Amino acid sequence: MGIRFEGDFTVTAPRDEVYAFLSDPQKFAPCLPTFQSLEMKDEHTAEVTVRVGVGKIRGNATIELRLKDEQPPTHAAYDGKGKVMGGAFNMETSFDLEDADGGGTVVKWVGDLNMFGKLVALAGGLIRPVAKKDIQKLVDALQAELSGPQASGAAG
Amino acid sequence: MSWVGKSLRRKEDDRLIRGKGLFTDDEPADLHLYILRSPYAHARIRGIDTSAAEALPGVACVLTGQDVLEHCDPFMELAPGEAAEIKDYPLARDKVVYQGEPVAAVAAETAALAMDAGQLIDVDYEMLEPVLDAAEALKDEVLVHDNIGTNRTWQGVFEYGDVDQAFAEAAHVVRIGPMHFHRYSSTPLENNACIAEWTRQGTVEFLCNNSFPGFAQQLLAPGLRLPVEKVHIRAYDVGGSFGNKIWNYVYMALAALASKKAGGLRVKWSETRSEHLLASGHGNERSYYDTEVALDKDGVITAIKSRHIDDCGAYTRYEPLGCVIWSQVLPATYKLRNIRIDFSQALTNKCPVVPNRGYSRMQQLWFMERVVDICAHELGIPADEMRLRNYIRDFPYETPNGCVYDSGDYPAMLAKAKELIDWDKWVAYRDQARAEGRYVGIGIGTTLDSGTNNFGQAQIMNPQLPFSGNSEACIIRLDFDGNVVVTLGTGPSGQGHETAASQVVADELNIDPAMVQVRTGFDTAWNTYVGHSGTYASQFAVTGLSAVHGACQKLKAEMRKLAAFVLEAAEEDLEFGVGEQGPEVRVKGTDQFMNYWALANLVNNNNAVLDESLADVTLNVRHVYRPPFKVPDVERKFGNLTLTYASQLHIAVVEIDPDTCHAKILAYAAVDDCGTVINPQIAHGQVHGATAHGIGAAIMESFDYDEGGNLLTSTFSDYCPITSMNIPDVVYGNIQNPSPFSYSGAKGMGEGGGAPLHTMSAAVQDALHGAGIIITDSFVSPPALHRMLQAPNREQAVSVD
Repeated sequence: MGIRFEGDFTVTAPRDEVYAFLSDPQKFAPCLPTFQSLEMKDEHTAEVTVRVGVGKIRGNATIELRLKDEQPPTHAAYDGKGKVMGGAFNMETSFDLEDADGGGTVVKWVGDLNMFGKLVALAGGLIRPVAKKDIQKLVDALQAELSGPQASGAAG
Repeated sequence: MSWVGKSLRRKEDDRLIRGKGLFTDDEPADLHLYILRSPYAHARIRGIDTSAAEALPGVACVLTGQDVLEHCDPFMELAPGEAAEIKDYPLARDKVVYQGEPVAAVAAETAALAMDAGQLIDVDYEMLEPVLDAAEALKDEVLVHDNIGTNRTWQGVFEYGDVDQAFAEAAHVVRIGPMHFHRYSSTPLENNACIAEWTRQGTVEFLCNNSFPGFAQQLLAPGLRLPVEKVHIRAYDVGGSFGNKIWNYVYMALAALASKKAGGLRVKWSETRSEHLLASGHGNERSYYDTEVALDKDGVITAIKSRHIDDCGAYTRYEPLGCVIWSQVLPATYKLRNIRIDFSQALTNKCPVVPNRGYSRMQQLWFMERVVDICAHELGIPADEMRLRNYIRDFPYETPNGCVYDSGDYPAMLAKAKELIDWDKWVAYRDQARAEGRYVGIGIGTTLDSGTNNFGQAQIMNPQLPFSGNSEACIIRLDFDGNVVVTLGTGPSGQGHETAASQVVADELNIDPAMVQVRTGFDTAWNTYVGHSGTYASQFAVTGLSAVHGACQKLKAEMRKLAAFVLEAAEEDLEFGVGEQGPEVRVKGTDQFMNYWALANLVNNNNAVLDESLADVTLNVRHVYRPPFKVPDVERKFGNLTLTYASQLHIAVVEIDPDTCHAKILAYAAVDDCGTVINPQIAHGQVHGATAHGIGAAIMESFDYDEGGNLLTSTFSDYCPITSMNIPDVVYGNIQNPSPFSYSGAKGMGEGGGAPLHTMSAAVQDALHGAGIIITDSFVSPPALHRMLQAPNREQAVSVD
């Protein structure tokens, strides 16, 4: 079962600063709304643990996140794979940065999530709304880190 | 007085209703097994790290594919050719080939601890592209089992008569587009379960709910590298099987290996419902292509040609037997003589299929009923009239492929069903509703329940297989107190064998059924059994009860011989009867008798008075019943594949709500002909249960996979089994055309032949034909009907020349 999410949001920080933040899991991962812990496996790979609570699936999920494409300061892409009780998921996400009119940076992002196992049967129908909520929380957190109070954005 | 034919209250019900049954999960064990399953439909296993699980206190052992390689041999394959090389082990080794395939197992002190430990096992997978469609799988672009080089498990052409000539002479040719019989499973109340103990003596003791233990034992022993006699299988109460529990030997082997690794502790595995739906075994999914039907000017079908592809999922297990089993009912209830069906079966990355109530035959029967209904609609012939023009009328009837339909009267069943449902009233209602723009339809489904297989048909699939005929065993003993103890060759899974066998024995020995004790459950240590022993394929009423009947005759012969000696009378002067002291053998026309207690006492306690000529009289006799089968002609695919053919005819009236697309059943009638009825209440219950399963399958139950091979319906939230809230009132009727091939005239009837699937498809099509819809899928759920109403398919689905 595959789901694509995409959207954009604007922050007041310049592109270089935004790129440095978003291409460093140690910086952006704590912004994940259910972040538990992070361990760097190598320079480009992090193991991130998040709390999951979707439908009947409850518990921790571990995600191995790898920065697979770096084009500073405009583009980067991650791939990741994770597992949660009875299920597994793969994800690919990337972002493109553009200068915003009037200063700041527009973050255009896209994420593809593929789920496997009991996760799909037990929580498949709930993933999209739950994920949308969590993405909005992540955007809010990133904006708080990278912007002043005037910034705005929305999850797709 | 005859007990057969009476609705004797089921002996089993007292313990079952009062919660006194003994099911496998009721028994304690030392350890509990958790099975870690693949989340992927197709992936290579790059590594498994079990260290964290093994370090958890309370964990006794962890099993992986490496363990099964060291301690197991692959289970026997029935397939010929390349598919014979499929390696089927209790755990995946280097690759997983369906979602839910066992990858590792943990035995721990509690079930919860085992499950927790299972989450600590780290499996490194490399995802592979799955193949999920059988027709695609036959292209062999993605291989389920790399080592065999193909996904095709079997292919054969079943051709009879002169098909080309019949088409050349046809008044009408109807061409039907692709059709599909969906995946579902008739869920039992009790999931699979087993307890295994690998003893210090080197035996393996199983308590389980396997429903074909004679077969399981023959598969388990070589798989576990043991002689057959060291594999002991015991079952007590079994909460439904419907064929599913035939194949749970795979899990039995896993529990046995865990016990071995844990030093002989008793290991229990108890399946969860979502495991059952995900990975226990699904019914066969089948697709039908290139169907052409030749008819004469009166709508009589003269020939059919078609191409069928069966999807057996990721392992063959009981397959490819399904590639032949369907031909037991090749022409269904119709008299056409010219048939050509090209049949293939493919492996896919989905749950393996296993026999499911109506196994393989109902897929063929659904196809034939669809053909009849589609032709009727397209030629403007009423569905009832179409059937009357095409039904087989004379019995016994030899089908084009040599099967012999023993007895039946399909027109009489149709007349009875029409009477029960009040046909004319509903036709008027339907016509009025249609005039108002409503979707109301009436459907007929005629079906067969072929019982008592000739295992020789397996040789049509694989000539090397050492199987043929059929048999069942029974031991009967006149006990010390004059009661009768019966041991059957197999245990039931809810069919009421104890009751039915008691009725037969009571009649044969002139005793009350209360004096007959049919031992509950099954145990390879004390049951008598043969390789065919098991509860499957609608065979107990014929094979099981024929064994009981034969054993009664042998016992009576011994009792007569014994009584003749004691009473100093000729055997022909004796008769069985009931006297003041109960059942007795007496000299006709005199007051001399021996009651049953006295006879038993003579043999067991007072035998010094007996003559040498009575040395072979034990009052404890075994009988094996063998139906009169011959090995089929495997080249021609010709021969009698089944002994009896019960039949069912159902009629449904449905109205489809245009907003919800739900096909509401307004009326439903089911007429059954299973020959002589042993116990009408049990037969009625079987019909009711099969009807419920079939209606559930038609409108509610489907195993749906997404494009990644995820099963989307693996809980009762999504896979909705029918309940008392969904099943309509079923008006039940019965006619009895006794079988000439069974001693009592009974026919096996436990499977129901999927009649409601045919009936619901027919009724929904009748309701929607005016909207340009041809029903080409057996699953007529609201979403499916919604899609059809959005995109009527008649132009693509059918054409008439």
